[in-house]
Amino acid sequence: MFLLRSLGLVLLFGAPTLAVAANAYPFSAAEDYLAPADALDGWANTLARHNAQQSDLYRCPQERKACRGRLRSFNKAMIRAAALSADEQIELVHFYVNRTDYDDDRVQRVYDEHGKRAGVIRNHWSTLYDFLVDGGDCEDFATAKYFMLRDLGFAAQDLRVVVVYERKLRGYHAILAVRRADGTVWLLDSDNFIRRRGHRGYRYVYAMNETSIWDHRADFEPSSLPTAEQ
Amino acid sequence: MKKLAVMLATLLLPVAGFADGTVAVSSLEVKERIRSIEQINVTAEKEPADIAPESQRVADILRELDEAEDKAEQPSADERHSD
Repeated sequence: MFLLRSLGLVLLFGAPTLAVAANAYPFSAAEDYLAPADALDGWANTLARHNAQQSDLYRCPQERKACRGRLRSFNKAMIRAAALSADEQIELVHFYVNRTDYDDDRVQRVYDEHGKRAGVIRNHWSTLYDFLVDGGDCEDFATAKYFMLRDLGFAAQDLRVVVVYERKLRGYHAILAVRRADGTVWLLDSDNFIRRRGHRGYRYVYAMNETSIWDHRADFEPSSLPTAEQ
Repeated sequence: MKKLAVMLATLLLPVAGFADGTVAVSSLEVKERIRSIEQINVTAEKEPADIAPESQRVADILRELDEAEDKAEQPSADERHSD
């Protein structure tokens, strides 16, 4: 009888916590793994171009001509971030990136490894360099945070760019999920909020980092979401 | 005691099943899923809320970066004198 009462109390007081945590991003859902990162062409292209542009990110301020867009403040931010705690680094990257001008990437300018404009691509994932020079939209905000935190030493296995279905907006949106040392997952959104306990407004659709892609659509009925054409 | 055991088993079984589940996915299905992922258009945008970082150190750094960017956007003294 004592055990039954104890179980009841646990469920009664634990239920709200469980309810909120129930929509935490499922980092540990191994069954959602889909494929290696290079299976998604656009993302694989972004990763390759980011690697090629890595040195260009840090040529400013030594080379003044290399200081395009926000590259000067980016370099300052990274220097200052080195002295911060992990929590503060996440906050700095999050708010810094969110201050970038929004640019609809229906026409996205891309740059080669020498910083010269190489063309335009419609609806793709920006590299950090492209983003700092030309801005971007929500998926570019998420990828910029991803690349900056990687450069600050955060492990790829603890970071994912996550595409969600945002119920309030009735559309697909992108955020960055950061797994912390204590197992909690912080969700960095372009609306400036860092959601540390999940978010009921999201349905997690798919996610990626530089090694893998995860498909979360088995967790709910995919036909309940609009198709790409809608 | 028996009732308790049955109740606990009922509660725990779904968790056990979830923890156990790795389902083999065919390469054809993977390709189909990738193709459908590529069709998803990420277009929903949000307005940034007027909230500050929790860390005062971070807020100070952001303010410095904003000031530096504002300064970089202004024309230099030479450019102003040449007008």
